[in-house]
Amino acid sequence: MTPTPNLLKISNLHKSYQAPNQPRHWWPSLSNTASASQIKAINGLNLSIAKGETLCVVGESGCGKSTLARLVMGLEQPDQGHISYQGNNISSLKHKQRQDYRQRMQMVFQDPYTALNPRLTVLHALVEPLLYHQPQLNRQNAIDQAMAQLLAVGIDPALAQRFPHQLSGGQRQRINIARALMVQPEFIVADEPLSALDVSIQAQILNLLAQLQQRQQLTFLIFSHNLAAVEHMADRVAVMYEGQICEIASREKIFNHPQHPYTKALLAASPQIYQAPNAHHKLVGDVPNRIPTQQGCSLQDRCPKAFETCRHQTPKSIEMTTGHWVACHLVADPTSTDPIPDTQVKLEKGNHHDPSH
Amino acid sequence: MTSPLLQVTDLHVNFISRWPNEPNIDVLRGVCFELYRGERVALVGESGAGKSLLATSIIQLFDSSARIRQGQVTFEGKQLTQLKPKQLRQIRGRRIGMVFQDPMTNLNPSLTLEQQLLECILSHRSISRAEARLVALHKLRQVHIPAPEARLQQYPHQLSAGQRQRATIAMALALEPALIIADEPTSALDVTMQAEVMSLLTHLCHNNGVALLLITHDLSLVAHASDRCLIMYAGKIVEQGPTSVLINDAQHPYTQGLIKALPQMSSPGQPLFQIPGQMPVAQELGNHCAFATRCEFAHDKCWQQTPTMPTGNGHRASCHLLTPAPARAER
Repeated sequence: MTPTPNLLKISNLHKSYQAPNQPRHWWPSLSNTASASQIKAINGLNLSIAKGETLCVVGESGCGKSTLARLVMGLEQPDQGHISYQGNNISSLKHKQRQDYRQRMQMVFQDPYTALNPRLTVLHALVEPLLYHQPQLNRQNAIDQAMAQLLAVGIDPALAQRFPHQLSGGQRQRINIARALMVQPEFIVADEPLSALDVSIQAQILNLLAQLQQRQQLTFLIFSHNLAAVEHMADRVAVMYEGQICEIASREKIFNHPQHPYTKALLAASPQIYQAPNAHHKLVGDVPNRIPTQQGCSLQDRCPKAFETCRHQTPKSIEMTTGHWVACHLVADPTSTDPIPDTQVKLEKGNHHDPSH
Repeated sequence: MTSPLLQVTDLHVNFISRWPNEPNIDVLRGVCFELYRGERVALVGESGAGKSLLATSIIQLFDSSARIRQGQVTFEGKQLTQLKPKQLRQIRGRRIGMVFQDPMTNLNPSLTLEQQLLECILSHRSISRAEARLVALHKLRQVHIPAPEARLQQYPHQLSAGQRQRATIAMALALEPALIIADEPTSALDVTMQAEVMSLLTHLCHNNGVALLLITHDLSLVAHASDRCLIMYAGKIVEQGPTSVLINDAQHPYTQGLIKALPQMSSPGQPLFQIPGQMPVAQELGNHCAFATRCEFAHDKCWQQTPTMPTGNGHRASCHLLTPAPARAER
């Protein structure tokens, strides 16, 4: 499907954390390592990203998006599985190679207010990563590059001597992006780059990202829960739930022909200015706390269409059409499934009103 | 015509400058609007427009350096600006409930939900603790919190973000106020929780006959959850009208920009419309239209005088392009 080879490939990735209320015993064999005390943040995740594409990962908070971002950046070590970048497994990199890897891959953080050091000027913040990765570089040369980068993200170089508190939210997010671009990376991981911004600033940042991608052939992995922005910028969309990818496809397929009930629910929850909200695909309840005590599909308690098979069998990801993978029993076996047609889905809760009035 | 529940007329609020030779600058510059019983009104604008200051000015919950310089706030026939602190406290919480942005920071982390809900109820009503507890349970059920008896004993950190925000809504509703002010109630939540909290908030208000003032920066969020919409820019209301009319026929270039900048308004891959520049800070506002610096239709008149809001009840906007209407804004 993809014409270019995969830049990043994640296979069968697992990562779990100790549940906070059950601390580890100081003596390893006495600590409770039963699966009940482990929170599975990433649970058998497969993903690949081609060079030059924008892959957006959407999902609710608590689904493991930020853990995935940290694993890809090498800030956390996976329990199981591989992340390979251009064929090299990143968890087995030695110090020197890891530095090189980090130079090629940069991260834009969620909150522009906390991601910048309040005691460094804009110029200092931009020059620092450059001098770290290229210590032989002439200082004046580094400053020139920083000024050029500021122009590229649409910031007046006169602001270079300012401190972060003297800048607006949109300007800070641009500085964040400029800082990530300073070391000429080829791959950018952005964790919720838009969620702290106003609508008009959001449009500016979206346009900037699109421009930069065209100009510098960047590959983007973007985590977001803003579906409107995702629809605008993504080439492919992966929907994540409970540490797994439950549906992945091109943007057109996800937004026009979603298959997984969770994708449908996310799309229905996204506010639309000219369309009344759709209550048919509403989910029930909250994101569960990921201490696996039950078998079957992880969405079973919230899914309005869950049926018998969902209770005891974990769905496998199957390819519906080329490049469109869905992990859901309803899709796997359309003859026996969908006990209630779309139009008559009864909400177990929250049907006391009609949201359109 | 019934009299409005809340009427704000020509409200000017400024912050007292820390330095003696610096003038005090108005941050709210003559805000006028009214809100009727049971009505859901959305207040939309960018950050820095003065939305939150307006909300807190109504019940004077603002910072001690802020001051109402001029104007009136009339609520249920009372002049809130004239009241003594003690009288004001009887209105806050009891008649006007408030839901804030981040449920983690506005619930007290060291008190259980029961302690917080009962404190709120018992400080306004002379009923026994047992009765107050029943009221609290009833309200938690209304906001769909599962197992409310168990939840009452829990601390805020033991609830999920959506449940916390629903608990603050229960708290705001506990004394059956006539008005709820919700300041960005869903910005800290996910899309699915956002949809749930929004439908809960708007329908609880609708069913209980409570008026709602909903503050947000996202026009698409309120498009189907409000009856009327106020667009705020640089301390003034620049456009107001019934929400369905306003979003389909926006008059002010700023409102048009806000709608056009939404990612769903342009086809994927195409550059988005962006409003150039940013909102001027209060010190830089001169004697001209505050939006002139960013407006693509600005002409001489915009730089010479401040446009005024036409009087009336319907959909109206304060813009020079509209008043004698020689050249109307192209959409």
